[in-house]
Amino acid sequence: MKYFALKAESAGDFGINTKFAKPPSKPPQVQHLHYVLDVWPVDELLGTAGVYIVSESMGKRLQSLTIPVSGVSFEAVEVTTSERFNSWHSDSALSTYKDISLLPRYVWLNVNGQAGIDDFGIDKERLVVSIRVYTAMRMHRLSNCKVVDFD
Amino acid sequence: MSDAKANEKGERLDSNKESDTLKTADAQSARTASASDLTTVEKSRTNASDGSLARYSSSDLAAQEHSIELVFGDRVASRKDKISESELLNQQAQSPDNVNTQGLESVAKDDGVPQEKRALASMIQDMRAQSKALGASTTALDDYAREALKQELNAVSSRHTVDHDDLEQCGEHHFEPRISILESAAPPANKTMSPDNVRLAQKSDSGVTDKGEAVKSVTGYGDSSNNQMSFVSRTPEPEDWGGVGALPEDRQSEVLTTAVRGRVEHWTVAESEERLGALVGATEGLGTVLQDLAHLTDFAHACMFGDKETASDLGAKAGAAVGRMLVGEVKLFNLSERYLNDLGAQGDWLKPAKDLYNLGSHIDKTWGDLPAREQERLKYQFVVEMGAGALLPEQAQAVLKSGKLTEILPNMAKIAHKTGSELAHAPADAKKTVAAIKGFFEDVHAPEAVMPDGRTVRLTREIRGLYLMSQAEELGGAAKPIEMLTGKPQRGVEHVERVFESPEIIARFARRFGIDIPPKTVYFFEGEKEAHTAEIAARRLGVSVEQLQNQSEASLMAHGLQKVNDHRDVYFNKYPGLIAVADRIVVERGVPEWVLRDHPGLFSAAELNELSNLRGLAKTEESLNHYRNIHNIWNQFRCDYPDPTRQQVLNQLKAIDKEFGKHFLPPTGGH
Repeated sequence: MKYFALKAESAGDFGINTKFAKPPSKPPQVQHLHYVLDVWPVDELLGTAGVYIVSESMGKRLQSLTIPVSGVSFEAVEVTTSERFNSWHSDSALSTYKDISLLPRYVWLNVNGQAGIDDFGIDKERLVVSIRVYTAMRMHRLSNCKVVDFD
Repeated sequence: MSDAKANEKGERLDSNKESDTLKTADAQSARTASASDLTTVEKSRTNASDGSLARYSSSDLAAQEHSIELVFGDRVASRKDKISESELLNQQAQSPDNVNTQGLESVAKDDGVPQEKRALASMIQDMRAQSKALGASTTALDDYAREALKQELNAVSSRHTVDHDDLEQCGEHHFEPRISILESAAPPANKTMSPDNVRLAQKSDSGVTDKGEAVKSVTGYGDSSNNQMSFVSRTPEPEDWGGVGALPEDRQSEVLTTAVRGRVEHWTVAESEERLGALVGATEGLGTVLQDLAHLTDFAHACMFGDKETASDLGAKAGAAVGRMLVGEVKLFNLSERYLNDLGAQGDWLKPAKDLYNLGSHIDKTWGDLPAREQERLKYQFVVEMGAGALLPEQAQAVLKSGKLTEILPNMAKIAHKTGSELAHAPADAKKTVAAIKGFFEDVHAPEAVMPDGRTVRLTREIRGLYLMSQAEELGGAAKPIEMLTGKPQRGVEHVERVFESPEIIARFARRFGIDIPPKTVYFFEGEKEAHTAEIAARRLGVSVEQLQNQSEASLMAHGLQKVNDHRDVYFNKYPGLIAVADRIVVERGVPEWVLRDHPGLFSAAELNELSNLRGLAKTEESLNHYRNIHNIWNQFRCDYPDPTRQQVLNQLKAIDKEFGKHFLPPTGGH
């Protein structure tokens, strides 16, 4: 099966409520994910330092594939916005204003598969997905995501 | 022609009557007057002008400044406070959140408005009156009133609109067309402007031909058949220059010099328009062309004669004229130089061409005389206000790097015009460009005040606004200011002193934008990237704020705590000229703060909050995209270098600065 390595858009960073497993590892092993948005996201797949979240609608699509996807569990994520986010987007007089109520809900892709074997895996902190998963993802917005073949 | 004029003409044609008159003793005495008689009469004149701007001098103009005043609503139009009727009416009738004395008075008397708001309205009303009486602009005060009393003024405005509509429906609309007073020699009885509102304060000197010109050129009131007034009967629009801008350059030069010559030689409006119409091939917009060049000519003459006071009075008008011309793509300064040098203006055209050329030289000199820091401040403020760093980096760079104002202004026009059309929520049109250049020009030519220690300070709009706002906040409606800023050097000293004497006032202004002067202290816990206030840090340590603040750095370090200056405050303390637009700037760190959390010890919090690590970005879509890209680059860096060295981080920063540095405020990375 063909696989792709994705360099996802980064629109934020770990929040203070994130619980990392010990000892620290690269990529970090996360027990509870708190994702803090620094800027309004463009894509429906977001990442930071090897940890990924997707929009709720993309998550539902991936979960509804006929053959269940492997190498991932879909878990809840706490998403908040930072002061920087508010600084960019809270002034309704400016073109950078965004209505925060339109921010999508997200789910955490807790990846535990092996890259190039399972539908989801991590390689050098990049998200590696099978072609069928990638095809499903392509039905959502991924304009800032860089994609390369994974051999 | 009015009956009075017809009679006057008829009398002149009656040769017998004239001959009889000339035979009287008085007439003969006048005809044979000696030199000493003439000297005596000259000395008795209160207005020293001979009426010719061609022989302009400051004393002449000063003597005319109060020769005629027109009181219209809460405005008094005179040479000192020029405003066209259409501009005035536009302000009064079209602005939905208009601030005027009546609006403030209505708020002050409205029982439904909270007492403190009523008191504030009353106070601002008085301040406006004082400000106008002293010849100072009320713009900053009006802005403050709009901000502080927005709801109340809008409520009043909407009530007035309803009343106005009711009157129209009842057929009792007394508000005459705004061109009405431009059309006749005297205000007819049925005009809205009552005789009480027209104060003709003519002084003796009936022989001064342009005595009323200052007023006439402002209001258009007077005999329209034989003077230079009433150039325009509506608000001048930038588009009015479009016809001229579309002409070949040599023809544009002819238009400019013709209009200047008409102003200097007192051509009638009809004559000027006829000549210009022949050159342009159309008559649309010629009123604006004539008016703008009249302002520029007067401004140029004031500059030439070293009359800084008059030049600063005319600065805003001249700036608006320059703005309209630049938006109309008329390269005023290039044209005048080229016309003088290459095309060879000769004879009667030499002087007007020289006037325009000298104007360019003068404003470059005025600009050059400003301290370098002040030049930078004004340029940056403009670039930030326009969001130009992100949208048009080349033009922004050209503005920031240009040495001459005549080179800066055309780039400003490009920036303002472009940003105006692309920023969805910004006032988007050429008028904003004109307003921006007008304000900039006004600031460049703002009068100076000498401080007690000998320093000179220019009374820019910001300084005046700062003072007025501080007064309004300080007084809270309970008291009234003793005096307002006048905008005049001789009166500015004590006011500017009061502004600068108290850092409190400047600090209060900055706090409106969440900025502290000097910078406030924040705390970083080791291994975390978030900055905390003293209250939060103290709570986490289980001590009081006082105890925290009294701890030494070594003691704090022992608790894994670093005390540093707030990064945003550091930035705006360094660039105080940007405080007024602080809400439109995001201050980012070059080396991102997650380095503190993910790689403790690689950088200190103090290093990350140093000025050299701070990058300002204007809040525009373009800047936001740059920020996204930078965010992604750093995220990729985290993936590529799980355990980076300090040098690797600095190399990445250098690469980012090189790619995006030109979009920062100020630019970095060799830009």
